[in-house]
Amino acid sequence: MSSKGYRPGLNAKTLGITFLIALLVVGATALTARAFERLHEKVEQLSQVEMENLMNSIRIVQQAESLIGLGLMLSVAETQNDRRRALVELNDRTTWVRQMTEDLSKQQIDAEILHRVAEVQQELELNTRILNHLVRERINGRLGLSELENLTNVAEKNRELAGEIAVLIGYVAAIVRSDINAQSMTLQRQIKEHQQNLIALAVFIVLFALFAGIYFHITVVRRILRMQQSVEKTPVILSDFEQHGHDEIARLSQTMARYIRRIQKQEAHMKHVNQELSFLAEHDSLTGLANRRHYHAAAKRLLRQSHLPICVALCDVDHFKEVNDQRGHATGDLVLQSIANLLSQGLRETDVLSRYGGEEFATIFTIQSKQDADVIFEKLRSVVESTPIEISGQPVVWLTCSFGFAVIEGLPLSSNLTDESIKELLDYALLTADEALYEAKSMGRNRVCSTEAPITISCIKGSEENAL
Amino acid sequence: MLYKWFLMALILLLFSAVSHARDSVRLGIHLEPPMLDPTQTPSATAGEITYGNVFEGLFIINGEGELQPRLVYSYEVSDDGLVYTFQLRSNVRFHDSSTFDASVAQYSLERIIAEDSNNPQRILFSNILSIKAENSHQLRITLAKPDAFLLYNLALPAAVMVHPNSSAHNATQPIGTGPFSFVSWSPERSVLLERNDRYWGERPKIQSAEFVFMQTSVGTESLLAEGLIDGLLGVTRISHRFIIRPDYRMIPRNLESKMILAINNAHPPFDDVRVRKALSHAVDRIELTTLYGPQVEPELIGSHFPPRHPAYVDLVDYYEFNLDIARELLHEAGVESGKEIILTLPPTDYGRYGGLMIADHLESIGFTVELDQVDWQEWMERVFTQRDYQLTLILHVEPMDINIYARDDYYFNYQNKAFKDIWEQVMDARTDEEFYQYLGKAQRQLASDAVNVFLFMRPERNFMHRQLQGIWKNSFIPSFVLEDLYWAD
Repeated sequence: MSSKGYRPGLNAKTLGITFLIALLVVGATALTARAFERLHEKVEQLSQVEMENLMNSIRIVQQAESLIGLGLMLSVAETQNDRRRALVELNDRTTWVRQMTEDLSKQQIDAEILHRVAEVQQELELNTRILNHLVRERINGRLGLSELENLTNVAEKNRELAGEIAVLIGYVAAIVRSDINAQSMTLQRQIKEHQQNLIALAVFIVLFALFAGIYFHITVVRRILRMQQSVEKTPVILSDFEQHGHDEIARLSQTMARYIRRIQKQEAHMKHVNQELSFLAEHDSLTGLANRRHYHAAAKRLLRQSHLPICVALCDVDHFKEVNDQRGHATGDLVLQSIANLLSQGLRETDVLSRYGGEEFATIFTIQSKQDADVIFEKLRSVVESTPIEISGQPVVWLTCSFGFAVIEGLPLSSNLTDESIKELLDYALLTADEALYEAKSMGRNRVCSTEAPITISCIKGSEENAL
Repeated sequence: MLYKWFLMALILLLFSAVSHARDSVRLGIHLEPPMLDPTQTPSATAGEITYGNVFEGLFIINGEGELQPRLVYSYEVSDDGLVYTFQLRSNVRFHDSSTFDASVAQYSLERIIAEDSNNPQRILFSNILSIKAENSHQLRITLAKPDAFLLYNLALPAAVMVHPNSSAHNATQPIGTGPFSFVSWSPERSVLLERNDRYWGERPKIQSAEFVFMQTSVGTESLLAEGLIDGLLGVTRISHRFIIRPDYRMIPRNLESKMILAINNAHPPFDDVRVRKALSHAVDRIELTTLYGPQVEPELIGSHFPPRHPAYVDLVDYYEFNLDIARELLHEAGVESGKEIILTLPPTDYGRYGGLMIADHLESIGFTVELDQVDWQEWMERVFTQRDYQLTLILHVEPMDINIYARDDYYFNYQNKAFKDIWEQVMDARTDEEFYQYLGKAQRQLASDAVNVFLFMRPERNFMHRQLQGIWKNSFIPSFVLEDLYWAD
């Protein structure tokens, strides 16, 4: 979608490479087929034409030699019967020799030689007829001396002619043979060449396939693996994903990066919301102090963990109702915020301070001794008393607070104590602190009161069983 | 995937390179036909190649020697035996795609009986009054008188179906309806046929067949020795030698080939019956029977008739082998010693070597014999057609052909009213008994007239490759029907 115009994607590349390999294989097959075909033709030519020629010439040479013998038989025949026998055999062989000569392929063999052979054969046939005639006459006793001499010559000529055929065809056989040799050498060479070509082609195809494999590994498999590793990593680092590129995997990578970025953003948001929600659940929305529930939870945690004495205190704003009534709730709220500020500034960061009721605050923290608590609360009381609360557009408000606290000692507590017992202990401490507060109120407000006796676990009913 | 393709391609390649199962044959036959149209030549050689292969008739003599309808689907004969109605097959085409129908059949048969017909068996159909194509596939033949041989005659090579468009060229380019079509004819070498893949009937297993002409004895020997032919149709002088080879075998066949020393009865001195009788006494038939080697012994005959026929009369000893009687007869006939005669020999094994023996025999009674070796075309032309010969050694392969002696224009030049009368009686015979009786009479007449020197029945054997099966053995038609031929594993 980001690419403009056509860019070859993986699909196209895959297709392209597959097609290339297919083309190579088809090409190799076609080449092999063609080579086979040519070899087949050559072998066909060799076996059909050349071998036939060779066989024929050998047959002719053999028969030509028997022609010499038969010619001799004819010329010396003593009876007509012998003569005819020789003649019949001669004719039979002459015909056969003529046919075979005609069958010799004109392609390989010198036409002049074949022509000469045909001439000699004709001459031989004619000469045989003359010889036959002369011999018949001789047997009949009708030949004179000169004719007898002629017969000898004719017989001699017959031998010569038959011999000439044998020699000429022998030469033909030699030519054909060397031709066959040459052709079979060529054939061998060609077969070898084809073999080498085939091997080269096979190697090339294998290399190409290998190359294609590596190429795919680099362009596809490795990138997918890298993407998978990137996704598996915690946290997922967006810069691990491919940022550039236009093919399918790059686009997938970019989409995944975008998706992960979105997830991460969502996660951050959720975390923030969660934090906010848990804060809201544990804090008072007006003053930002812990609420009663959070106070209880934090107090119980502190009770379980602390090795030092713990001070549980309640603080009530004096005559707050008048502020609300005279200045309105909005001002009342502002006042409460100011006092909450003053109180928290007077306490340690780790100390738990909560808005416990309308204008009542509760705190819990560790101390070394009860005197520490006295000092702290006295200081808080005087800070509140001496600090004017300024509200824009309104007259300054002066207020005081009353404090009541109790100290829990005998810490740390046994780890076997149930949550129930801890709660009972806390409730007991708060109740005691509340009694002290009440005392402070009844003594005229703006003062700090506490119970003399420290609270221990033994103050709680059934605590011994719990401790066991 | 790719590699599968590659593999498949390779396998295909290998398969195309390796030739498949054998489906061609090379069959040696003794004589090159003068033409390839059996309806136009008396030479049985045309039918040897084309009958049942290229050409088909309305009927056929099958491999069991039985008469079977071929291009006829069914037929009816009228009660008086004079009208034959044939239903023809409807899906038959010639090799050039012309259709075979009743009008083509009518044309083929009318061509046989026409005034100017060259058909060698025309006389056999002289009984036919009319031939009519009733409709596209119904043919009616009306006879002058009942003829028990009509269907048999319609099964002869001379009665095969030809198409008016192609019949003129059938001599060199035969076009028929058969399971094989003609490819080429190399003169003096061979005729090549190939399977007709559009044949109306069952497709033969053999794809191509080459009929090689075995023109010379030495060539025959050489081709057999080198295994270059798969079958030699008919025995030769040297066949027996090759029987020891494990790849060949001899199988019998059922022809009725009569070897005769044919005599030109019109050529002096053979126009004298005494001279002809002298020849019959002089020829040593026992010696001649050695022509095919020691393993086969031909059956002697005394007339132009096969011994297996029920009407056969044993006339083997009608003329005893006796040179004295022969010389005496010649003397009586006034033939002087040393009389030069010519023995014309066809280009066959039996011609060459049988001719030598006969020449010896005839010289021993005072003739001077010259051999005249001719090729088959020349023999057909000079001897058979022009009757320009004195003596010839020849094989008559047509079955039941004693009727040739009743023909006026046959190459024996035998003109005998007595025999013609006998033949009339044969033809008119009402019962088998009568029929046989007159046939016997005919045989005796030929023997007493010493028309020819009747020698022997040729031993009928095919010399075949051991794995080549399915040649028709019991057909008495001189033919080599390829349709059942196949190579066994």
